Amino acid sequence: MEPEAPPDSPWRIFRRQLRRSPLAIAGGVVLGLFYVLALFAPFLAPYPEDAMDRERYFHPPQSLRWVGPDGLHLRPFVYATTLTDAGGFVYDEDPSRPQPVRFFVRGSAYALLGILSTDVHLFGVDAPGRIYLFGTDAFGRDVLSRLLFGGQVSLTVGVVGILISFTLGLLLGGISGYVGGLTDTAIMRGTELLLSIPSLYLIIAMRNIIPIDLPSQQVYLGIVAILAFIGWASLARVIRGLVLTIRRSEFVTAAEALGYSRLRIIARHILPNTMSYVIVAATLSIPSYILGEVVLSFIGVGVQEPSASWGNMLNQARSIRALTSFPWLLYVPGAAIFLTVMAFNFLGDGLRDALDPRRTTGGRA
Amino acid sequence: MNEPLLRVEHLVTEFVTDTGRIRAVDDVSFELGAGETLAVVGESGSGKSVTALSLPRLVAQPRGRIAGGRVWFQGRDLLALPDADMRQVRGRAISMIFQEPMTSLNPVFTCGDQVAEAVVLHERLSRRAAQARAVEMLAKVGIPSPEQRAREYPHQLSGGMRQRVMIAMALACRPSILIADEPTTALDVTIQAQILELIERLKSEMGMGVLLITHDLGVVAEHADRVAVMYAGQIVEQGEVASVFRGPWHPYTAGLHASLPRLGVRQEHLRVIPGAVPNPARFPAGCRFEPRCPVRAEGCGQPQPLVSLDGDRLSRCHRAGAFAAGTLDPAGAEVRA
Repeated sequence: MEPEAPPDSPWRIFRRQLRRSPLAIAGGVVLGLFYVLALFAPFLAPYPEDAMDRERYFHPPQSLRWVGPDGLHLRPFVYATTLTDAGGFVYDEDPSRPQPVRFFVRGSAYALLGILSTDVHLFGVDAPGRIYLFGTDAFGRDVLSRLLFGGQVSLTVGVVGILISFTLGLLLGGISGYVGGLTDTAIMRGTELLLSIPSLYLIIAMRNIIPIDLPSQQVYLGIVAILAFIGWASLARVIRGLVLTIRRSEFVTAAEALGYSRLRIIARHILPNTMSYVIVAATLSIPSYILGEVVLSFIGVGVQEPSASWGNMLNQARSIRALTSFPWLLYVPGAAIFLTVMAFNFLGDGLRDALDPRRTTGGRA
Repeated sequence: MNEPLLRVEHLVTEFVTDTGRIRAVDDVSFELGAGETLAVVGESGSGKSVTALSLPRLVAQPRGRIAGGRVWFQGRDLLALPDADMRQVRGRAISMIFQEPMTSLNPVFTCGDQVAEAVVLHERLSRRAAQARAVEMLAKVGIPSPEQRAREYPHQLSGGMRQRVMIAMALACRPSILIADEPTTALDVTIQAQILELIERLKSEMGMGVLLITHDLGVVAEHADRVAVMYAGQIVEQGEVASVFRGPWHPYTAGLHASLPRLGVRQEHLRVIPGAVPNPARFPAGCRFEPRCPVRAEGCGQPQPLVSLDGDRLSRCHRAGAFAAGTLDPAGAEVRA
């Protein structure tokens, strides 16, 4: 007879703790939604990211309507607009020309998820009408479509960057802490060198290595590599500190006594014990990668037009005129960046609490 | 005893500290036979654990260093073996269990995985076969419902259970030598007895030699065949457990023996050996026990060699002959003629 039920597995404790943090769950849900939106961007966006409408520059966001002068409509619609002031980009709605929103319309061809060739888009209006729910930019490009396509870049730059920099940081920090001696000194002085150079300067200097006229995908990879190259150093230092503590644990001596190799002990026995820190650190540092891409694109050395990223969308909202007359150019990408960064921070805080051993070993309090 | 399983000759282990180089183990020699339990006993800081860690070369680098000696095992000197070969010896031929079962298991893997890992590595069994061996080993060390326990994490087990898992890990590859570094110090008395009996049973089943590091003379009396008493990095007395306990030939052994509380004897205070173990950086030039010794005399200022008086029995005291003859009591009591 067991006097009491066996304690819960670490995974169950973690889930129970996470459930207590509604902000973290909200953050996770928002992020999940954003990543799905980015994944299906070509299907959800009514237009390609680089399609220009030469008749509608700086078109304001259109509102979706259900009620017209003739009563309730069965499907939502937008009013067609006409340009009334070419200098000030003022558009007037024409209540006599409602354009019903149609779903699963045929538009530009694309390959969904890179494999499924199709030309069906979630919604649109009959040609020659146009629907711009978030307005258009200086080149008459649909901001909503660019936001969705830009999300593909801005949301993945953090994840891919983290994967590269954390692999480097874990491996080098692990070796540094476990092997010690000269190896430790060499790696740690390397990180200090990297950390002592102002990062923005380093980013721009490294950006100069990559030719400016590369295809946008390669530029994207280059940016990820630059950000990761800068990001691994501080992580490696923390991991080294953690490894120094863990390597004194008896289970590490026990693993040595069982004849395991150094690399095996680092990778299988020491580093997994740093995972609760690493997961939290990764979640909390993804925003800095997203912001890094934004900064690079904002100063014009990041993702190049006409490809979209949230950073180069913000770049269009630099002038006072844009801020006063075309505020959607700021609000739309700004809100997306803000929400993403906040969501990652909430999720990271929640994960940290859920993985904190001081909170979890207490059992079911 | 035929050719011993393990022969340690003149082992010296040093540590570099801020205050200088210290000798934690100074010229230690002993032999261990198959099916035999040799206890190494001593106070904290006597060098017994460092001796244990030196044999499989687990002394923490770079501060610790094995500075001299030989460890003969299966015709090879372990101290001269390349690292890769040494890893083949560890866990497979010489295994080790530790004092703290709470921290000796990796908290992020299940017990079954940890036992199986050693088997996969040393015997190149498949994962599935290794898991089966793990469950078999857990059953062998007396863990109830081993299939279920194999899937549990260390924090879900009690201290005694974890020490059993440690033993299962150490013995999964059927080593010929088990080094047990204070295996029961952190456990309750009742669990202690169970674990020591388990080690004894497995020793006779598998024909291992066991090197038992302990500070507990009771454990030595119950479970060891021979005993080596260590003080300040040196072996001060060595011999069969029964004869050493009957009549210690070194004042330190006698002092340890006298400080055991006895059933049925009322004592106001526990008897202790006055003073403390000397700082390893400043050992006395002569006998290292001299400052605390109740029977010190002329000649204690000289370095003391380990002398053999009666075959197997060794003592590092120049007055051992008098102890053996019964003309002097090593604990300093009056000797009735």
